[in-house]
Amino acid sequence: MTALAVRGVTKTFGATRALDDVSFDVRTGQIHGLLGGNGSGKSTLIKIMAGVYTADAGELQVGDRPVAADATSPARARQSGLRFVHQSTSTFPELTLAENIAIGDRFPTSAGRVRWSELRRHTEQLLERFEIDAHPRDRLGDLRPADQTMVAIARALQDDSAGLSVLVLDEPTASLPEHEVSVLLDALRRYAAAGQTILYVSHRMDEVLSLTDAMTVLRDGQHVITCSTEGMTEAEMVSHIVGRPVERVFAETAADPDTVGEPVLEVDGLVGGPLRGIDLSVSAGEIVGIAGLLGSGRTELLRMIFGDHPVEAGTIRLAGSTVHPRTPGEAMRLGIAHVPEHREAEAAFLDLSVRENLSAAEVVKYWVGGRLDRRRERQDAERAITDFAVRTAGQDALMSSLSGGNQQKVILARWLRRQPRLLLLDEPTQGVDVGARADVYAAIRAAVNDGMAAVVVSSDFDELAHACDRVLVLRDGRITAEVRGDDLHRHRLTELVYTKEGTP
Amino acid sequence: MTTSRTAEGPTASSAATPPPAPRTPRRRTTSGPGVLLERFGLLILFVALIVLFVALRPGTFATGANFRAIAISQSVLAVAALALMLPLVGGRFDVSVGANLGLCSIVTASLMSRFGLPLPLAILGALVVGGLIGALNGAVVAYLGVNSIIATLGVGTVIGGLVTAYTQGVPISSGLSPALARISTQLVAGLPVLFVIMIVIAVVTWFVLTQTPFGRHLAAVGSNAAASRLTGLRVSRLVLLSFVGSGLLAGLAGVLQVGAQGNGDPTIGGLPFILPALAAVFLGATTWHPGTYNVPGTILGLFFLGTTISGLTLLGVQPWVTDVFNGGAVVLAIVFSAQLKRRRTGFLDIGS
Repeated sequence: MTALAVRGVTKTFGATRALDDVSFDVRTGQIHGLLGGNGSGKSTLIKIMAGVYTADAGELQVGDRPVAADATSPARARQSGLRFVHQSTSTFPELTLAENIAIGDRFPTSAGRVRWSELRRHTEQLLERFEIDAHPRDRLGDLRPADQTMVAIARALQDDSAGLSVLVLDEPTASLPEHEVSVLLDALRRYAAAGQTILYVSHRMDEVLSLTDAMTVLRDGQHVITCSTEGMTEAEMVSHIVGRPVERVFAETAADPDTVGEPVLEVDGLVGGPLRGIDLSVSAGEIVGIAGLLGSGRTELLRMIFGDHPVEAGTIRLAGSTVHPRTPGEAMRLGIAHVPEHREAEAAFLDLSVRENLSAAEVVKYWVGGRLDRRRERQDAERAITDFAVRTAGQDALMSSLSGGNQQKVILARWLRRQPRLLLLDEPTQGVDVGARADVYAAIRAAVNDGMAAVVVSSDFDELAHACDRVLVLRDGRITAEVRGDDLHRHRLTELVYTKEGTP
Repeated sequence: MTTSRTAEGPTASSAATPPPAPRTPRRRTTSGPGVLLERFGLLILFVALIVLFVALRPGTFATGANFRAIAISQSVLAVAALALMLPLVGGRFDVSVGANLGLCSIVTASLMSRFGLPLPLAILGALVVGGLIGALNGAVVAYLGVNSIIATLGVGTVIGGLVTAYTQGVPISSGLSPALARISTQLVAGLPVLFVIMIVIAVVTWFVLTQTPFGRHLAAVGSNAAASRLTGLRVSRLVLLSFVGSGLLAGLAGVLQVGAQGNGDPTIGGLPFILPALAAVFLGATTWHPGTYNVPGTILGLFFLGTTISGLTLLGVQPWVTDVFNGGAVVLAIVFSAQLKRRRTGFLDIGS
């Protein structure tokens, strides 16, 4: 029997076809894996199901209830029996289990007063049904992480008897420590055995292999394959996910061997956060990429070097001398620059002007003779706007009036103007259109050719392969591989990032 | 798909000459009637209001004495408004400004009256006390992570209690320096000395906020604290300093209050007293440099509110109207500036 049917779902964003006529079936009572790399259309499909987006065409069928994919809404998704649990964003660690279960307008009341005893009974029943060893009055945050996820699942499924709804789990293990993962997976197997249909979205091959009954792979918005998990191997799955190469979006420029000079950054045995001992070296004149999945420690690595994350052990050397930057300010004085991952939250001053955004990291430079040298600041801003091809109504325009790509050019200009020795970039092209991506990398390459060293973290492996001179693979808190030369392409990086150490 | 933009030919498409940016009209350009109206709207309204009151009450409103009375009565509040504004630039409230002002006026009066110190030492004492209160506020907010409204509300209430305990509610009016009292009677170029002192303080505050790295850094913190930290700014220290500055301004306002009123009055201060100043700060953020807290807008906003009250009083409205007007003005001014922020950045936080 079919619990969920996806029929001809198509979705375009501008000129990009995010989903192209995607169809597949999920059978009742099965755990069905949904796989695909970045940009495969996987998240778009989930968002269409949840009613966050509407598709251009196609149909979803949940049980015997059809929903036109171009008219989905959160309410319709609920009515049709689709249930979603996203990572760990929608639960409240400070509240009790009973309150977590009831949040979202499901407190039982009489005459406006919450009937706590009834809520407690209801929660007890749910905890029993989902085999969670806890009490309704426990604080959610006191539970182990796997149990917290199970509470979120129980909340999503509280009104359904097994078999009538489809549970969509989006990367449920991404933030779980390793030993917790198996607890959750065992629970999911039990729910499925009781008749619950589960659509399981994950990056982790081993989980999908051991957990699912069947799987669907998407790539570049196309449906690649839907098949039984039995007989599948990790290598086969990776080849489905990677597929053929896509068009290159920017010109390839490798480091000129003459310009690669002395090591600028040397890291030995760096431990902290998820990192368990990182060794790496980056020389003047080269761009080194870091390929890793979400939670691999890629962001923390850059933050430690920039003095914004505590270092537990290990040394950082800059141009040969050991440094211990404890604040971003200290790191900046050492000649380090850092473009953070979340532009709007951590880099842009949206209600300030483009000029103020450009000068933000060196206002003191214009403090001459007891006042700010506005004229020089304006000249510098004008030059940066021209040099970095920022599309703006002028330097007085608000940062918020710029597109994401142009905002990112402003941030990049802010740092490159300081002529750093080392530039750290975290997802520098997130939310940046293709044209601006090329500009961003051209600017980085130009600075590197002048003797700077750059480290780029990106989840877009195609981009890493084209923009970097070599790429280090970060997995489980360690550098597990280095890729350069002819080996440096998206397929190889994907293989290395997804598969465990030692497997080919 | 037009080809007009590539008219220079293929040679021009290298990285050295980027394609010309599309000059889409944006709101915050330097000219245009809408922009001028936004920048100078309050000023125009202010002038229209004066014209209206002059027409309605030519005999009482349109007199030099009345304008001087407004100038004197609003000057202390103007300095208090600047004290409120400084932490707001960095995104924090200091609602203890009124209490701090009251405390410092008592300190000034008491040092002269009960300890027999000369005026300069009394002023210094008020500045030290005001600055220390500001440092206390700043430390609690910046280093202990307490919500600024709550922290300063608590500190302000404690101050109010201590002032009452010290004075027993009795004003201090004997033994004060006559020079201090003269600032509200003497004129310089037709303007009360008190008013001129206020203008000097405003110019210094304007300079610090717009012409020094400190002011720019503080504005960055107010815009995005996380981004400020990641561009190397010492966010906590900047917030602390903004509170110290606020305390120093409150101390100055306290000294001027003694001069304006002729005694140290323990009933001065507290939240209702500075409400018009708070309204003025937010009103100021909707004008002159719309969207940013700015000194000219704040001063203009305060005199706009003060003149309105004065005119209404001369028209014979009941005294309770003043409270309703001031309270309403605060809420309306904040609504205006919040809407302005949403229009400029697309975000509107729920109130905090």
